[in-house]
Amino acid sequence: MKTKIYFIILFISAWLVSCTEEITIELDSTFERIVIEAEITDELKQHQVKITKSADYFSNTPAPPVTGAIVSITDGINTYSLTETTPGIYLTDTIQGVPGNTYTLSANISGEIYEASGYMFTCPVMDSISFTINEWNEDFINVLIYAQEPGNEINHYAWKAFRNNILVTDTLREVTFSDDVFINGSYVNGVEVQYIEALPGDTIILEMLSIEEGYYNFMMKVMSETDWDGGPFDGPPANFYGNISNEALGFFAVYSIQRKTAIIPDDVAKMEY
Amino acid sequence: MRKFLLFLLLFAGLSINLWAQSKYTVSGRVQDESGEDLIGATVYIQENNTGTVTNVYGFYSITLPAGKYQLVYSYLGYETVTTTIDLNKNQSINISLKEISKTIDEVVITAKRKNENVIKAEMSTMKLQAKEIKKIPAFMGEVDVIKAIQLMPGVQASSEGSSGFNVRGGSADQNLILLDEATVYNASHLMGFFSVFNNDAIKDVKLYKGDIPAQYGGRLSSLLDIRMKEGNSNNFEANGGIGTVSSRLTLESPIVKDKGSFILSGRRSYADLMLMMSSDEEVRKNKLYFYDLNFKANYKLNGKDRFFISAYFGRDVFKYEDMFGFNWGNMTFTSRWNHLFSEKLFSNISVIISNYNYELGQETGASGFKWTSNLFDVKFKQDLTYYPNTKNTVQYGYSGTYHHFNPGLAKGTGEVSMYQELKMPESNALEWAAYVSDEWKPNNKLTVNIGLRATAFQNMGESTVYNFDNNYEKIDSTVYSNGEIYNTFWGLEPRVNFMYSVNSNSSIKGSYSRTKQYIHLASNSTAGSPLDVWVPSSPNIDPQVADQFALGYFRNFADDTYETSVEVYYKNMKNQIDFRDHAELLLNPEIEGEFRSGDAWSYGLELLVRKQTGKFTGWISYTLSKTERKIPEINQGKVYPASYDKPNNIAVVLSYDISKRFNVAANWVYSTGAAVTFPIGRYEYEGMIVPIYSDRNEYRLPDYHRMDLSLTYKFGVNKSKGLRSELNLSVYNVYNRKNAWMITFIQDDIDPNITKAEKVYLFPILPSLTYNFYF
Repeated sequence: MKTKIYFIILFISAWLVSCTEEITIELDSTFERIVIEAEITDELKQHQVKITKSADYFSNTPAPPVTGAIVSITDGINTYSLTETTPGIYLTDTIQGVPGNTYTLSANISGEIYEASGYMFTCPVMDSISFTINEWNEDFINVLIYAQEPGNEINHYAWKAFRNNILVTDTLREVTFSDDVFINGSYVNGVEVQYIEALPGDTIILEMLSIEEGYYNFMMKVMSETDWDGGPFDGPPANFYGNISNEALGFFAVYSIQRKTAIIPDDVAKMEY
Repeated sequence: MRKFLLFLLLFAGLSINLWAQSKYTVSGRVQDESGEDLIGATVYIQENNTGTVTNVYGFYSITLPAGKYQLVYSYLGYETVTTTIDLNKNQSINISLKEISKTIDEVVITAKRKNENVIKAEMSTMKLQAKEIKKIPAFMGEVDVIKAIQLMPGVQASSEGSSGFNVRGGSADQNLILLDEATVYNASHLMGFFSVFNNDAIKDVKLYKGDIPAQYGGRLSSLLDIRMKEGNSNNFEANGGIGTVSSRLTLESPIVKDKGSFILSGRRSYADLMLMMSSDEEVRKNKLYFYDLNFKANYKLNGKDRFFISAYFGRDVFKYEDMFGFNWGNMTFTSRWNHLFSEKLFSNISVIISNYNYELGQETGASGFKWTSNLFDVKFKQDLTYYPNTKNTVQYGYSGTYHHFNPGLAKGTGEVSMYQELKMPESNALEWAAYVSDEWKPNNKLTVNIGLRATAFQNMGESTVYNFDNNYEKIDSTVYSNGEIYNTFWGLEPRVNFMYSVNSNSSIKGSYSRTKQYIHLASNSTAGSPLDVWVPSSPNIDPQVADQFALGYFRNFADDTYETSVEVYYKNMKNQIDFRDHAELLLNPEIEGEFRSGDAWSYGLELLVRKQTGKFTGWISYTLSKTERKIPEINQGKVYPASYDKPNNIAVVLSYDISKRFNVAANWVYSTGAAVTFPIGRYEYEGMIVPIYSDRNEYRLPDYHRMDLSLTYKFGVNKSKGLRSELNLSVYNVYNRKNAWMITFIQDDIDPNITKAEKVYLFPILPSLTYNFYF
């Protein structure tokens, strides 16, 4: 509900603000920081760790990669070494994470050690998904889920979507996440969890991620410092860290995934109130 | 507390015995022709060069040795009246003053007591009459007292178009805004573009930037005392206006001629009426309007008792199709009883109610929800003024306030709601105050005002209080039962000022005041929003305290035509509130864990040149100031400028009567850009470019400046009865400067590697037309 309220407030702010103009601003530089974007899931695949450096705000080039790092992920018993396939991109062999395990990432960059760990929760199974036309923009389709919430304390989720086998939520701004959509233990009977540009006849895969609270908070902060910045109605901006040691930026995300596939019917209806 | 009150009574009694023998008292009321009380009118005794001013109810009292005296009654914009009295017994003299523009064809120099601003002991104040405010070019034609206040030295608008203001480095929640003594918690309509005060219902307004009288308290930085008109007690009168944004209608009438009167004033905006003309049915369902109603009535029972009732009700309504609705507003109610115990002892008892609430929600469906919040106050107070002799004026009184806080409750409304209920704990508090002050004039050169205010604040159940550890993590909670007092704060607030008269047209003034604030606005935005909630001091949040020192030199030139002043101040503030990074202030039951507190300080220099009489009136003000904060958990504990730290501020407010019919007015404002935090680096994460920020408020927005103009043409100026009207053209932002409201940093849509800065500005050049009528 809070997420929805935030959107309403942003919407009201947007009503008020209409004139914008690009301007030139002189900004200082700051020291370079190490940035790690890493994840391990319960899918059988090569899991990726991306290591880059921060840059000047108006550098306007892709983030400089960090090469030659020694990277590994361990579940306490097995240790998987990662191989640098392209500069800054490190991959595991084809492996599968197991819910219930705690995973630890370690990266040695020119002698400096960066570490992070995370617990893999089990993701509840979705019974089915359905679709409605988005109430704000008719080119968009809402994806609704039907599922039994397991009734334990885990209640942080994220959702990604594929349209005709192409991941359309490929940046964080398109991923949706929530901490309060489920009432513990009750049946979730048709709740909108994703919004994507799609047409009747398209095949949609919805991916539900069971994430840690820390990752949820991190994504909220990334969004609040980027797209959701409400300007003067918002608090002052602030820097933040993820779960990686040694003041590296970024996050090591550990989560499990459930999927459901469905075709958008021709008679998809508008959301009813 | 009881002992303290006893002391006050003794003190008052003692003075009577000492002075009551061979002296007599002349007292009464000063009003205008329509029966409006004149606040701060001067009563001057020519023979011994002393005098007094009327209080907020128009009452005055002077005690003099028996003898013949000439009493001179004067008030700015009114003809001076002189009466001769033979004082051999206590006398009551009520005086009615005539407005100058109504009696004389040509606009002439307006009478007022000579060098009034110089010889009054008070400093750091500025008073505006409703008719002066009306002369200032108005944004979208809406005459607005708060926008006028923002043009004063030492005062800054929180952001463009905002009704929030910062006084001498104080945050926007440190202003006590009183409408007929009732606290107005949110003075904004339409996100702050207009204030809740309808100028047609207002008599005058006075801002205290420091040196706040001991009678008032509860906020750290300023008192904005807004007084509503009483209504014409002689004749029925109507006036109104049709403007670009809203229309207004005000009715005034005697209840019983010369005994009582009332005023009823209403205003409604009509942007949404335009939407109704839309051909799109969905668009017609949108709503966006505000309205407010002011009512005041007064009745004189006899020479000794007078009753007043004032009420305000206003709301903003916002509705987007059938998706969601949002409405908010204030309600205030004040009932007062003026009683004269004797010619020397004036009493006023008030019962005051204030309420602010909002409701936001989506009505139907599984995703329907309703979010409500309200703040409710009931206050009882008595204020007494005792006039023992010409050398002393003693004010004392007490007050008790019950506060109820319901900061927020959100729940699903659908039969099968998908939302969990979110509830911030409700709480109650009692706020007590007692004060005494004496204005003492030992001789014609010196006036000293010494005051002391004692305050207490008590948290009262029923409430749930969360307990936090040193890292602001919740440990557990304590539930207090209904009526249980579980925490008490108290403190003394000394208020002292002096005026030393250098010569007849110049003086030196100084003041020290301590102020305490027990309730705080949980808002970390610079603009303020209707969703902000007030949070009381509690075991987790200490009261805010400020000490302010000010020194000023006041001098008038050209036979009192030009008033000038120079003031310097230093203000030290403790337990100043900020919030942790990424604080969650909306619907957070553990909101107290988001508060961080530390020190703030502000110092500055304020220059003012003001001309209140003649065809050409207005003021020029310049403020040089600095405001900084230091809070351990914010900005790594380093000192940072407050967002409203704008070192240079200029306001030029001018009005010229070309003829009786034609007035032209202009204002120009300049200020250093607000302090802001900008990104100095960036990194990539999952396709997002995330900024790395500078220290808090290390950068500045571009300087702000703007000019507004207005032209007013009056019809029927020679008539004293019947329809008179005026047409006003106001132009906001005449030279169309695109002042930055904020600067946002965004990722390019096409090439996600590119980041750019965008300036957001609010108002281009905006002309508006307003038609006002009177009959």
